Formats: sequence, structure tokens, C-alpha cells
Amino acid sequence: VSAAAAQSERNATRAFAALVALSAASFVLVDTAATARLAVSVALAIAALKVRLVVVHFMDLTWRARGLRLAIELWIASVTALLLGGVWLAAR
Amino acid sequence: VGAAEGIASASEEDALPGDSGVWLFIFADMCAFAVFFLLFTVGRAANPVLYEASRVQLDPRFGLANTLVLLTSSWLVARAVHAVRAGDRARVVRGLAGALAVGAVFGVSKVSEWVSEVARGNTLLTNEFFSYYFAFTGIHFLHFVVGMAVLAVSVAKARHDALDARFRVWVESAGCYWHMVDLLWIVLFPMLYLQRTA
Repeated sequence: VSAAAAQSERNATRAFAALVALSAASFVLVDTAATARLAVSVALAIAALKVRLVVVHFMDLTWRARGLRLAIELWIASVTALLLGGVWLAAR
Repeated sequence: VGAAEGIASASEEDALPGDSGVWLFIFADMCAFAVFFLLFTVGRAANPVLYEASRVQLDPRFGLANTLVLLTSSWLVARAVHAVRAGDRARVVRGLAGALAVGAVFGVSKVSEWVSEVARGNTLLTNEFFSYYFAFTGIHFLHFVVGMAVLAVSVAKARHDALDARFRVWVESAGCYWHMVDLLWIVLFPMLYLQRTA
């Protein structure tokens, strides 16, 4: 097993730990925060970060596959903007 | 394989984990779900009171538990993919079988949640929120069932097939599909369960 492969596997495990912590954090935050819109916005931003962690560390989709990686990054940005827009514009 | 032209060029296909045709399917599926997210967001913006009154009837602990279960299963698949690349058959089988077992918990949990919602009187026909809730989680569940079947086939193949390049591409493709099931749930969880308005 190469050092790079071993490092990649360690990164996947660290990403898993971060994903679990972020999931619990967003749940607690939305449940307890006084300001709903801000808390929901943070939870949605956390979801975007989690999706990126899955893409990078579980799917192993690097920038060497530039076209697909760019398409996925645009998907994450678009979906996050859509959901955040819904949160902030709906209440106006 | 050539079907993915437009998303990945020929030279980029070498850098892709798994098969580029599977990636085309994965990305198309993600785009279909993006349309679902758009429909939900527009509906919620038009009728926030109804959506909030419906959302509070869901138990977010189910959403969190399902998230953690899928993340764990996904991580086990990622470990199995690393084991394939290292040529370690025992770890491949362990990782895939573990992912399958943990994944089954999601199935039980999701069905339990649906049963409890129906028992409470919430169905596909209750209102727009619950129509979307049952439709989106139902479509996601179909993807989950397909993923479980692919994982089961992968476990059988890992026990008997040669751990060659062909098998590596199979497991990477199966893994990426399974990660997509996880990834879509990561968005569905806050969208359906956590978007409180007050």
C-alpha cells in the first residue's frame, strides 16, 4: 500500500468523523437556536460542506477529472443557493 | 463509457473512480433531485405556514439517525474501495458486508418512520408538504434498494472474483452510486426536517 493510498484512507476516516460531528451539530443548532433563519442557514451551509466531504473523501473525485468535478461543484453551489434563497426570500 | 462525453473528456476518464457511464447516471440523478429541491423550495415559499405546521409533525431524530446510518455505511464502502486497491480481499468483504448490514438499518428505520406518519394520519394525499415528503423519500428509498442490491452482488463478487482492474472498477462504481444515495439524503435531511420558520 502506497503512502498516498494510506493517507487517502486516513483522510476518509477523518472525513467520516467530521461528517458525524457536523450532522449532530446541525441537529442541535436548529433545535436550540433562538433565531430560526440564521440557524437553518447554518444547517444548510453545513449540508453543503458535508456533500463536499463525501464527494472528495468518499467518492475520491479529484480535480484530475475536471469536467465532472466542476459539474458537481456547480450542483452543490446551485442547490445551496436555492435552499438558502428559499429561507431568506420566503420570509420577506 | 463514451456516453459520458460532455461531462468527462477521454483523458479525464482515466482519473474517474469507477465507470464514466455510472457517473453520467449519478449526475443525471443528482440533477433530477435538484429539480425536486426546487419544487419544494417554491412550494414552501408560497405556503410557509402549511409547511411549518407539517414539518413539526415529523420526528427529526429519525432524520438524524438515518443520516448517521447512511454516513457509516458510506464510510465502510469507502474503506472497501481502498482495500480493493490494496488487494486485501478479507477487508473488501468485511467492508462491503458491513456497509450492507448497516444500510439495512436505514431500510428498517425509514419504513418505521413512514408507518408512524401514516398512523398519525399523514399520507401522500394529506397536503403538499406530505406529498413531497413521501414522494422524495420514496424515490430516494428506491435508489437505496437498488444500492443495497448492488452491494449484495458486490459482496458475492468480492468473495469469488479476482481482485483485478475490472473488479476495482465495479466496486468503485458501486461505491460512488452508494455515496450518491448518502449525498442526496444529506440534503433531504435539513430540507425536510430542520427548516423551521420560527
